[in-house]
Amino acid sequence: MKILLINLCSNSLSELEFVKPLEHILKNHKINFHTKHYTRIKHEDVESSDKIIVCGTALKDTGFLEDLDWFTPINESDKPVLGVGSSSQAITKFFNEKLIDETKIGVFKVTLVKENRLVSKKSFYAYFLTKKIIKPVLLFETLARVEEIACMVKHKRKEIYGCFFHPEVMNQEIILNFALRIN
Amino acid sequence: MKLGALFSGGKDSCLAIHKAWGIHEITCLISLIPKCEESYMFHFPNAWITRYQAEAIGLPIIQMETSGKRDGEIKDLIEAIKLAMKKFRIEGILTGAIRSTYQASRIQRICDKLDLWCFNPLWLKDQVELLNEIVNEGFEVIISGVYAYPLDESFLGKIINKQIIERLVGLWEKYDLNVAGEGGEIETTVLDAPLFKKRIEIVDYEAHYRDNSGIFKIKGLRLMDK
Repeated sequence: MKILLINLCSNSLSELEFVKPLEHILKNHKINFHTKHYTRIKHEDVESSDKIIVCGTALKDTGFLEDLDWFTPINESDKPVLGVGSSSQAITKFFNEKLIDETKIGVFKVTLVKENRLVSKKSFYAYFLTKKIIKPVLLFETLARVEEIACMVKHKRKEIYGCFFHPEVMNQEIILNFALRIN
Repeated sequence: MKLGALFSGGKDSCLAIHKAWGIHEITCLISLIPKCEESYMFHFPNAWITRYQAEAIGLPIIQMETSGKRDGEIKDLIEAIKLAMKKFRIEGILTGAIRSTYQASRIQRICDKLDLWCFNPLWLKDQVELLNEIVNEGFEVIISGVYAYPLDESFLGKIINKQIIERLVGLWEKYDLNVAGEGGEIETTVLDAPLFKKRIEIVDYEAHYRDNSGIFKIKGLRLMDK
């Protein structure tokens, strides 16, 4: 099993904060992965991987939202995808879901609203670093909420997940369940 | 990008600068000196020497006294960062946060409010890996405070080397201590690092230890050529 880890950071210093921690989790669990910057993804990178995790990036880093063509080969591959932090904005925007300006920074209580294979706890605390949230109305359904806001979503027909928080900080099991349980 | 580095004088803020060096321009250090020992956000022992560490690195420093009380500290930090924006035109903040979501989220909120980039290059870094990195990269770091059982006075003033890391890891496994000290179990002071143009030599100190808590207080120092 091989995971393609996609780096969204426009600044190499941010990679230490948003890419390295995910690499560390995968490495610690002996999960095979390779990391690529979103501007350099080739068709064969997607084809040679079984699953895809898209990392988050800094609050001020929003360039990846401007042109979402990079997500097209990933979508066409029909491989499971997990968006982490701000990458969830890109993934849901690609499917024309509406993003709303709402800043959430810090630790908040998350409540599960739909059973799923990534997280089983009815409620848990998660670390947020986001300035946009989703109001799913089209292709995505809500799996978990923070207050009344959707913060964990899934595509209704595909194995495409978005965590608007950073599971690598307090909820590593979400990353591992995606890597080990989702097909 | 011009960055201001939050600087406590300990290993984490120095290692964060070391990692950003060459990628961005560190234009100033920002240091808050808490008046009380129980600071929520900032490093206490030997905070006064940050101005000499800045001189050793060759960077200007903004030093500001803070009450050490929860809300006051945030206000003081905002003022210090605003001053750095005005004086040095910084576009971002660099921190040595590793795991503290309390510290990280407060700094992220301040940066968001002031429209600054925020970089935390040590975020979620493995504690033992971090200690080994400072030794391997040639940092000279002493333990300047211990605040948890079973860390005793024998650690005070000790230079962090492979043997000390081994001892700390042993205690971590036995007592679940945070080896890198971000949980407040240990505090450190950097005397030398690759980015220092001069090294700090301690010429006078006092060590106090009582009830599982101790401080290695530097009372005198001099800057030495390297």
